[in-house]
Amino acid sequence: MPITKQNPPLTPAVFHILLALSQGERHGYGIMKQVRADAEGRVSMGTGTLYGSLKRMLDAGLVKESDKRIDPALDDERRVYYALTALGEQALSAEIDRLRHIVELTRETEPHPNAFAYGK
Amino acid sequence: MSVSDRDIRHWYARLLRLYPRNFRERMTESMEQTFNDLCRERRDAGEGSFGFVLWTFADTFIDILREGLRTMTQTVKRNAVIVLSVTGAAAIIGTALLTKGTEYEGAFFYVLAIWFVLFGALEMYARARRNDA
Repeated sequence: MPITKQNPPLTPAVFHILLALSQGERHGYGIMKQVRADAEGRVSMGTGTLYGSLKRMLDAGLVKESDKRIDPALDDERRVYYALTALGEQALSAEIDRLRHIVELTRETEPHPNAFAYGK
Repeated sequence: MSVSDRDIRHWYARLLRLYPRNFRERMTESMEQTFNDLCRERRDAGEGSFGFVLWTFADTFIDILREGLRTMTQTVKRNAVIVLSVTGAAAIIGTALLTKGTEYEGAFFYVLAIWFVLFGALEMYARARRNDA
């Protein structure tokens, strides 16, 4: 899926949520824990950012509400589980390709990180 | 004076009431559950909650503003055609009535033409946005 006006690069929050859900259905707290684990603690998302992103992703058809059930590891409250849709899988795959391309490009060109700051 | 977990959860639930209704009906129950899970996680780990609570409240408040703006924009877009139709019809009828029997009797044709141009421009803009979406 090439980057076009219709398929812009994903925001970091949306990318991490898609990545977390690509490993299986999860409820909100489960997504947060998975994001922290995937990013080795370097990314932490608040509940506002998480659910705001989830709502926009639901509206865009990137994720769907799977069902409402109890998580035996937590308490006896029923929780909404979220799952990736086919469109969400496509968007994630396109974003991974884009990031991979950027990494390859930086390896080839080896830009100096402070080239502009030091006028090099 | 120390603030209990129950008080914090109560304030968070009150903050969530500021979300637009369509968002609130669908998401805030899960948000409360997740917030409670995070509070429990920190309590079990013996970590302080002041910074976490402050950060979560700020993050949620920013998202409330974002959702409010998004809902408002959608409402304006949805109502734009209705507003333009009603004001256009009122302008045409008003002009026709006011100029009846005067030397400017044909002026409402110009108003009609302007209205068609405006409506056409709006429709073309809406189609372009639909194709982009």
